[in-house]
Amino acid sequence: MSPTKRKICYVASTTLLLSALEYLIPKPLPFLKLGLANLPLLVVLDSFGWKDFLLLSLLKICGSSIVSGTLFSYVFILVFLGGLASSVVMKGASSLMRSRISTIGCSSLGALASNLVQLWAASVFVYGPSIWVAAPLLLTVGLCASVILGALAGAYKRRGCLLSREWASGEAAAWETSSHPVPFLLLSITVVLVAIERKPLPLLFAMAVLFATQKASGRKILLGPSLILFFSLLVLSLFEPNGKVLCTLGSLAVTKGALLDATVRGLRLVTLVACSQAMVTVMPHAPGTFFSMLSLTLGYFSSFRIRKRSGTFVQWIDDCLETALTGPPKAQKQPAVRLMIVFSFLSIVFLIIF
Amino acid sequence: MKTLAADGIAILISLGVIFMMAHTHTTKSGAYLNIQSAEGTYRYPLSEDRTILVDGPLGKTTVVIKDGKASITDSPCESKACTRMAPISDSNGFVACLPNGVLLTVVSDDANEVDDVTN
Repeated sequence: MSPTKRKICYVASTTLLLSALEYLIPKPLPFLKLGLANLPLLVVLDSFGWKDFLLLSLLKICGSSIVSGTLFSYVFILVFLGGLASSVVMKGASSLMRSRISTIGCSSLGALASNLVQLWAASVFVYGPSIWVAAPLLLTVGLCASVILGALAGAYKRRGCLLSREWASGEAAAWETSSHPVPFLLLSITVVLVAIERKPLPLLFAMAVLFATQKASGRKILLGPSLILFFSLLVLSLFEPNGKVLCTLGSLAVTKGALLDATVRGLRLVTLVACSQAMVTVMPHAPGTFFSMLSLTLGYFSSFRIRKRSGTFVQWIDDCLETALTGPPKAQKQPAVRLMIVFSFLSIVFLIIF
Repeated sequence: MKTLAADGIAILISLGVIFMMAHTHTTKSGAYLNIQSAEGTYRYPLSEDRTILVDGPLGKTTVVIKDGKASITDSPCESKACTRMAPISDSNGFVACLPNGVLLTVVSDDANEVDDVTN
């Protein structure tokens, strides 16, 4: 692989590091984002051409979806569209305005584009039109965060060196996933069945079974994001009353239909994400340059270590970032394939019967 | 840090979009049809067209929401007076089928509701 391609993979792996960090920050809405992962993109905005920049952006989108395990759920559509929109707008702004715009301007325009596209996608795929109620909040948070991130990226560009200097560095070991087509195929069928299921009870059962599948796949189950998602859906259902009024809160009413609808949407999304989490661990290997770049990106990502603090803050960050170029990647947990096959088969049977 | 002119414009564009969103999505929200019947209270958004069957002591009353207006199109009562009442779209009016105990009103959380009362 050429040094330029390796550099793209390396920069992409730093975005994964930041999106993993962002994932740890609790948020009231599942897609309220600070966009930390865009920091490296802003740093290399001028030095990368259109093609390399978009490639980097795609690696960031796919890589972070593999790390968070949402690649095979429709959260991916949101992340994909939002990420692509912001990259195109950021690169567009920087190549149109050249020296008249700084990383702050590019960052705020990118955040605006990404948020608008994600709100649109969320209104189509997850929440329905009531999500637009949250638009001013999301856009305001996005603007504030993007201005700060733009300023940070500008500061790093002037002082740091790893991402901006000439590239002549080592190759990391590529990410090794165990490819198991049978559970992958079974889980793909489950995804489709879950996506079209309309009743809460079968979904509840599928969720329980798929959580077990996820556990068998060796991935951690985090309940926090699921609970936040449920809560946000329930709050937003207040703005779309539908059916019998159970109780009223001022001019808003809790209605039976809206409550049921929110429950089904929440269960469906949580189930899909659990399914997708399991699928990521048994993903088949794909041929082609993009996929070998993707595994190199994930390889770099799993090699990052935190080093002892020395020198200035920017130097310390560079020190930590350099660990990926020298150290070995962390070992992957092996999925319990037989258990996964049994569980996914069980969920398919159940979803078809009901 | 040197702030560049285009950055200011970018931030202004973002602020503009935020104000636009805040304006459009707070004023149009909250216009719901409230249906009171013997079975209980029901609520639906006026923004979506739909047909609702409401149970009453005489049978089913058909309520239709179309183009942001609600009316009764059929009812098992003698006179069918309710089907001739003007469709409602704001909190100023009502549609009722008294024999079947069905009352339609519009609930909204808009600020202009207060103005309607004071005018």
